[in-house]
This record gives sequence, C-alpha cells and structure tokens, in this order.
Amino acid sequence: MSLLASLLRMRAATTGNAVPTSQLRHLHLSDRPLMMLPLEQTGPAARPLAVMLGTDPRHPQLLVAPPSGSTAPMLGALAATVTAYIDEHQQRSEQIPAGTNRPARRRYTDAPQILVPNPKTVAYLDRLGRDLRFRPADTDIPAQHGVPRLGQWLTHFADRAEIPGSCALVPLTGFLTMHWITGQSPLEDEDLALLLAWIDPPRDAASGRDAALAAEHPDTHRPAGPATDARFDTEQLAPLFEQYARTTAQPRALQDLERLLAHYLQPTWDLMWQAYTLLHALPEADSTARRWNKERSVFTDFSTYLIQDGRPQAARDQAVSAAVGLARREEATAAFDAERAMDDPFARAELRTAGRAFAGTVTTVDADRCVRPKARRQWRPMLTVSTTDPVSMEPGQLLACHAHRNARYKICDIAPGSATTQVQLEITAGMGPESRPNYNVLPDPGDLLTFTAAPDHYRLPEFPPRNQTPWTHGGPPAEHPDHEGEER
Amino acid sequence: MNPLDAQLDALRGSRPPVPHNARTLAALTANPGCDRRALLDAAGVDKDALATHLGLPRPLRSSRLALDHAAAFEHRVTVHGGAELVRLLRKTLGLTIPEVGYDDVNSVGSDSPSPLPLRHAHTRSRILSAAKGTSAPRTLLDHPVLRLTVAGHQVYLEPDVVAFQHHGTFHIVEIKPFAVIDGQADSAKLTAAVTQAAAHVLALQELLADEDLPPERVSDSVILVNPLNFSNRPIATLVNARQKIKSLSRLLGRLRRLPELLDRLPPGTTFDLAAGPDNTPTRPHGELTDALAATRPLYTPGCRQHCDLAFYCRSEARNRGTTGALGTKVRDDTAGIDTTATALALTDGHLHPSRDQADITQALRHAHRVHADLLAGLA
Repeated sequence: MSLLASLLRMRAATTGNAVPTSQLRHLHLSDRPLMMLPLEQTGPAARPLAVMLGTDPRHPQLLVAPPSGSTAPMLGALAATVTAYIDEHQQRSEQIPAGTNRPARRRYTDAPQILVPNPKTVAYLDRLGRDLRFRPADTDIPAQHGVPRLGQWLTHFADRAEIPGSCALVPLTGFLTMHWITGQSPLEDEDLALLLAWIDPPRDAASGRDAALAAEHPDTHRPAGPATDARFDTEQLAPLFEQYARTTAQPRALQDLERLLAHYLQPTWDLMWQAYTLLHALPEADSTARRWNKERSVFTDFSTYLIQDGRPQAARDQAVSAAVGLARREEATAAFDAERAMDDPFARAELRTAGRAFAGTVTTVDADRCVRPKARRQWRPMLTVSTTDPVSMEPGQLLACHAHRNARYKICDIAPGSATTQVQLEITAGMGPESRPNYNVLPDPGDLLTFTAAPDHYRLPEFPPRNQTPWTHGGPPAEHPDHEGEER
Repeated sequence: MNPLDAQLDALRGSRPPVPHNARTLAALTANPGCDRRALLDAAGVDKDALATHLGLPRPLRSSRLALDHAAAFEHRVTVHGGAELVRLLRKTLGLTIPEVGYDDVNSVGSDSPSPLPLRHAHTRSRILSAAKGTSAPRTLLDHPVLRLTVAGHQVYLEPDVVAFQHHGTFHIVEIKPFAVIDGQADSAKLTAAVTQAAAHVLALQELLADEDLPPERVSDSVILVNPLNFSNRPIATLVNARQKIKSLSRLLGRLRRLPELLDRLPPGTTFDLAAGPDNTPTRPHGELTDALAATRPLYTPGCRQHCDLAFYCRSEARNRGTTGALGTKVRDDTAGIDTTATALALTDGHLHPSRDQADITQALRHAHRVHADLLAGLA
C-alpha cells in the first residue's frame, strides 16, 4: 500500500463510500470459476465441517461432514466434484512452438480457477491439502480413491496462491481490494460481507459505511469461514452435535445439520457471486493474458507431473526446493509489479507517491544526438522532462515508460528548480537496430509521460537437478532408484 | 485494605472482581499503551458484561465446541496420573522413572467457596518442599495455583502443569489444543500460548524469590503440549520464552503507574453496572460511556482479537476520526497527525501545517495532486 492508498482510505472514511482505485483487472477471471466456501469444524485440525461449492450460482452443491466419525465419504464426494471440474480443463490443448530455453510442447487451452472468500480460506485449503495428500490411497471404497489426489491438487492451488499475479486460487477479498479502497481498516476488509457492503451497498443504504454497520449486526452477520462464529457454535452446532452423538437415527440428525449449514452458508455464497459480478465487469489489463498463458502452462506441467510421477509434494521444504520456490516468487513479484506499472495508470500513480516514479512534460528532445564511446557511433537521443513531482532518484537510474514498453531511459542530470525539476534523460534501449531505427521511441515536446524505475533484470538462478543434489539438501538418498542412472 | 485497592474497588462497583489471568496478561502485551484496558483490568471490571450491557457485539465469546475440544485434549494428556504427559516429558526433559510423581491440585479445596487461596497454599508448600529437597520430589503438579503481583495487586494464575526436575529446574507446561503440523503451529496462537507461559514463569519465579531461593531455578524454556499433525496424539515441544518473559516483566513494571492513572480520573468515576434485584444491570448507558470517556484508549483494529470492548473503542475512534482506526499503515503514514479530519484539512490546504507536520503535509498534497492527475486522465 502506498501513501496514495492511505489518502484515499481517509477520503473513503470521511465520505462513507468506497473509492475506486485500479480500473483494470490484473487477474484473469474464468467464465466458469469453481466457487468454494469451506467451513472448518472448531477444534480438530483441518477437519472439514461443510463445503458449499459449484460453478452455478443458483445451484450450489453442499457437502457436510458428520460431527464425529469418518469424513472420508464427504471428502470422496468433494474429490469427485473438484476432479471433475479440473478434468473439464484438460480436454483441449494447443501446440506451443519451441522457445529459447524450452522445447516445443502442448498446453491446455483452459485452466481451472478456484475462488474462495478470504485469505484464511486459502490457508485452510493448504492445511486440508497437507492432510489429504499423505492419506493412504489403497482404500477399498472406489468413491474415496480421489482423496489423496484432491490433497495434491489443493496443495498445488495453495502454492499458486502465494505467487503474485497467479489466478489459480484467489481470495475474493484480496481481489476486490485491488480495485476499491474502503473507509475501514485492512483487517476489516478481510470480512467479505463488510467489504462488499462498502463497495456495493444495497440500494436502500445511505452509504457504504451504513451498509457495513448493518452488515455487522451480530444477529445476521455470518463470518465467511473457514472458522464458524463462536455464538453459532455454542447455540446451534453444539446441541446438534450432541443430538448426533446420542441418537440412533444419525441420518436424520445429519439432515438437520445440513439444513442448518445450508442456511448459514447461503448468504456468503451469494456475496461471493456478487463479488464475481463486480470483478467480471472490469476490463482486463494488457499483461493479464500473458500471466494467464503462464497459468495454463503451470497447470499443464502439474497435470503431467501427476501422470508421470505423482508422488505427493513434500511435507517440509528442503534447501533446494525452498530456494527454487523463493526465486520463483521473487521473479513473479518483479514481473507482476513491472507489468502493472506499464498497464495501469493507478499503479503508476501509487509509484509516484512512493518516489519510484515521476510524471512530467517533455520540454526538449535532442533527436539526433550520438555518442562515440568506442569506434562505433551510437544513437543516443536525449530529452528533458519538466516535473513537479519530487524526484528522489539518482543520476544513472534506469527508467521505463508506459508509452514505449521496451525503451529504457537513463537519468543523466537532475536540476531542481523552485517549482519544477528538470530531468535530463538519455534513451538507452528500444531504438531498434541501427539499420532500421525506431523513431517512434522519440516523444514529442509537450508529451505528458510517467517514468517509473525500470525493473531490475531478474534472472532465475540455476539450480542443480534432483539427482545432482546431496540428500541433505533435498536430493534422493544414495540407495534411491533416482541415483541408479548415474552410478552405472 | 490499602488505598489503591479501595480505589479500584470503587471503580469496579458492586460486582466481584474478574481476576487477571494469563490470557488477560497476554492481551496486555498486545496493546500495552492502552490506559483504558490497564485500568479496567486492574480493577477487575467485567468487560464482557459491560459490552453486553451497552448492546455491543462480543468479539471474544468462546465457542463451546472449542472449549470441549480443549478439555478433551487436556484430559487425554493428563488422565491416569499424567501417564501420557510423563512419557512426553521423559522425551523432552529426560525425566527418569523414579522421579515421576503426580499431584493433582485441581480438587484441593473444591468444597470451599473460594478455593484459589487454598490451592495456592497447597501449591506453594509442594513447590517449596520440592525446591528445598525436604520431601520426595513431586515431579508433576497438575493445575497448581500461583500468584503474581500485578500493579501492586496479587492475582492468581493457573498453569496447566508445573514439571519439576530433580536436581534441576522447574518447567512450565502448557497444554494447548491447536495442532503442530510438520513442526509448525499457527503463529498467533503460538505467541499467545508462549506469553501465557511467560506469565506463569514470572509467577513461579516470584514464589521462589519470596523464599530467597534463586529464581533461575525456573527454566525460561517452556514446554508446549499440542496435538501432532491431524491426529489427537500429543507432542511436546520445548520453546524458548526468554524474550517474552523479559518483555512481560518490563510491561508489568510499567503497570506500577496505576496510581497515577487513577488520580487522573474525575472523582466518583465508576464502572458499576448497578445490578438490579434480578441481577440485570440498570446503570444508564450515558453514565457508563462518560466513565469510559474519562479513560484514555489506544484503539487499533487488532483489538477485537483480545478485548471485549473493541467495538466500543472502535466506534469512539471512528467518531473522533482517529487515523489508527483505519489500520497501522494509515496511522504510520500520517504520523504526528491524530485525526483524518486534520490530515485531510492539511491536504486540502484548509489548515497550515506546523513545523513537524510540514513534510507529511507536502507528501499528502503531492499524493492528492497525483490522484487529481489520474482522475483527469493525465499522465
């Protein structure tokens, strides 16, 4: 969050209405996402209580686990639904030609997308995935065969949710706060009901603030999970649980529980689709498509992994896998930040208040300037930008500009004046080959441009392959079949 | 009764005090700057009853399912003379068989109307005799009662278990129902558990120090017993609590400014709910909110996780337009400015910044210009 975000939050708090921020959607939104609203039973770690899920807002599927005893039938049904949804996206693929460092390959034309209410649900699915993926697969009941596989998928989705710019598993509250700022605290923003009340208040509400206060009323407010409300636990669930433990007519008691939970979950389910509709109406940013391609590649790779290898993901990170994961996250963060700065005027505005960008008018352009550091002449046009922004950068800093994505500009000189600062820039990249210079890169005097600090060139470091890694760092132990190839 | 106690009793009114416990002490460390909470807790005011009477949401209501689950887990660990616990402690502490003895302090004085002092006396004698080596060592004390001086006040604390190592040190054991999955636990719950354990360590150190025994005989590593992964099998972990003990002790030291806080209250201030004949509170809301207004709060959005009055303080903070009500980020971004109204007036040029507000005002005005550019479609 930037100073601009803080200022807008104060404005929203004063007016009582949310302020729109970025008007471009940076995450791909599927036409047919899998909405998932899980509840966790209070107490035992990761034990499910219920899941409401589906792709049709009007016909959600509700799966309820019994208060005690085995959850396997319920998890089997959950696995069946989720797997069927994933299967739908593995039907069609396209050919991707070989790139510089990857051979030609096939890629699914679509990928699954799971939407959940809040970040806590993402964490819950991660825990549930950890539980399920190590369960023994050899159960005698065919309906439950999919449970360990479901665990692997949930772990995969939860891992993806940690990557900035990934849209495989998205908490709706986080998605909404990319586009609106409310007049309440970020902690309260994690409550989907309150957040939506601010952003999209019901017609009869005087303001978002009033709607949020009404939404918070203890009698009607439902936390969006995964934890249930303490009062709901004590007053409604606990008596039913006791009844279930005592009765011999357990199916009947389960039906009562199902009815209760359907009633409890329905309002949040509707809110999730309301959020979806709001987000769907936003136009996609330019780079969203590139990230969606990446998402489909990752989905394809993981599908292949499950077929070819299929071992569950490790319970603990080893040195190499942790380093790989960290490097990937850093790479994704850098790319996502850079792409948003190019695509989105709001992202650039935030960078301006953070001192990572400045905007100004081009005053002079020296189009013919050449330098001759070596034998060869190099075309290095210069321009001067007059800005009222405080420029906290140093000469030598490389800049990027939304008007010409591939161009790079080096700050040569900064001359602060009384009201405006003159910044002298040299164009260092994006001019095209010498034979065919790209004159488009030259701005005209009078152009209004925003220059952002150019993203550092990030190269994923090389990591040793698995069979070259010592066992202490996550490689296979000496007697493992993975070693056989190199020993012989 | 000392004058401080009399003052606090007057503040609380007719209800019996809600004593400090390890949880409220842990909550104090979460927001040490809140004078309101310091006063209400010192006086033992029932904040939940106060919030209920004022018609506010009750953020800390406990779930019966959670309580049942915690009790069942604790039972599993301590049943049969702590058999499971002994097995775990042998592993983590290296207890040897002849040293194991188990003493349940739960039932001591159960027929007395106020069993805590009795249980405390029992605990004290057991611990002292063990420390001085005058009797066969009691290795495990289940639910002993310790006493800690908080702001010149004695409060009773009830650790789950105190383990005593012969020729060695005392260890505080906390039995908690949250799971440790692949060696990791929920960080918020873990912090709360370690802070509670730290309070128990301090209380035990106080007990030893009163008898001129070295307080270092209480280990600053505490033992947490939690369910392992997704099972209900317990696992014991030795956790270093030194930092928590230090910070809690520093914080308790600061609470000695209580008399100063009390002196600042207008005479006659009380949070008495004036319970009627059927025990329902009759005190007019206005009088209570006046009394609350006489204390200085420090509201942050995180308060709802550890304070019954969070919703009261929130609406007060919102009405005042406190920047902290919008989260720590906004508060830090507008450091030195208390309210959003002031911040916005400075931004919009309706107010002239003082010298120490000059930088932040300039930044806010710049942010405002940037937003105006954005709305105009420029840049």
